[in-house]
Amino acid sequence: MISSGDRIAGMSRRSLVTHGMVGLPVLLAACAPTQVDLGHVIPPTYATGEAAAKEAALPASAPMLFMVTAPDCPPCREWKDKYKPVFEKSEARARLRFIMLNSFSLKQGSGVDSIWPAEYRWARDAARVDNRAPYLPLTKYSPLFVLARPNQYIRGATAIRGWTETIWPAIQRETGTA
Amino acid sequence: MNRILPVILATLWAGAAQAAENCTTASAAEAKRPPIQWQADGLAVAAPNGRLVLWPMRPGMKLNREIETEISFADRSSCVTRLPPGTERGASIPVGQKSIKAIDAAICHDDDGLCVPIHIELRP
Repeated sequence: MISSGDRIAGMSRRSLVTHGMVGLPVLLAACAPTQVDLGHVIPPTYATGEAAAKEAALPASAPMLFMVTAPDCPPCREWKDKYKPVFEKSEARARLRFIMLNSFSLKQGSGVDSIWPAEYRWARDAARVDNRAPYLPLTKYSPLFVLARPNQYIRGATAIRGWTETIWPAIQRETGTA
Repeated sequence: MNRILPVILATLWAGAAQAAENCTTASAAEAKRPPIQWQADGLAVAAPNGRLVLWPMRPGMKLNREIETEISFADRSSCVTRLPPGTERGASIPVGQKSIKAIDAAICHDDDGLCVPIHIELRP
C-alpha cells in the first residue's frame, strides 16, 4: 500500500523507475521517461478579472505558481474542484502570480516545451532535477506544481499530496501568510 | 485519501483513443500469441521470447475505472485495448496475434493523486 506517497508495489517509485524489479524473471522496461510532444498546444491559462488586476499590482519579485494539468487527469480535476477554490480565496493567492499550464494528455508528461512558455522553462528545468522529490523527473508526472520567483526556483511537487504537503506550505511561507 | 482500500484510477488517453483502432477481441484461446495478462506482480505481457513486463499494480487491487492502453506492434501498426473496471491481476486481455513492441497508457493513484504515464518497450 502506498503510505507515504513514494511507494509503488512495495518499493519506492524512484527505485522502481531507476532499478526495475531486480531478482524477478521479468523485464521491466517502463523505466525510461518518455515525454512525448504530440504537437498539440493548449495555451497557458492566466489570471483574469480581479485576480489579474491584483497580479498586475504585485512587485516583479513576487512568487509565481505554475500548475500543469491535463484533461484526462482526475487528480487535476479534484484539485480544481476541492483545492483551487480555497487557494483562490486565500490571502496567499493575492500575493503571487498563478499560471495554469495545459498538457494535451497525461502521456505528454508535464514538462514538454509545448506546455511551457519559453520564458518559464528555466523553472521547469530546475523542477525536473529537484532531488528533494520522491521520484524524478518531476516533469513526467501530473499534476505538477512549481513555485518560483523570477529566475529563482523554489520548489516543485507532483500529485495532490505534493500540493498539500509541499507546495501549499511553501506558498504560505513565501508569501508570509503561514 | 483512501488508504484502507487503495485503488488505481485508470485514465483515458485521449490521443491514443483517437489514433488507433480497437485491438482484436479474439479470445485468448483463439489467439496464437498470448494475451496481455494481469499477473501476480502487475500487468504482464507475453513477449516474443516469453519474457514478461511488469506493470506497477499492487497486490489485491482492481481497476476502478477503465484504462485505455495502446498496443504498438512490431509491424508499426497499433491498437487500443480497454481494461475494464474491476480488472484484477490474472485477467487476460487478448490483443491479437502480432508481436507486441510497446505499450502506452497512464494510470492515476487515488491515494496520493498522482498520474503516471506508462511506456513499456518490449525488447526482441
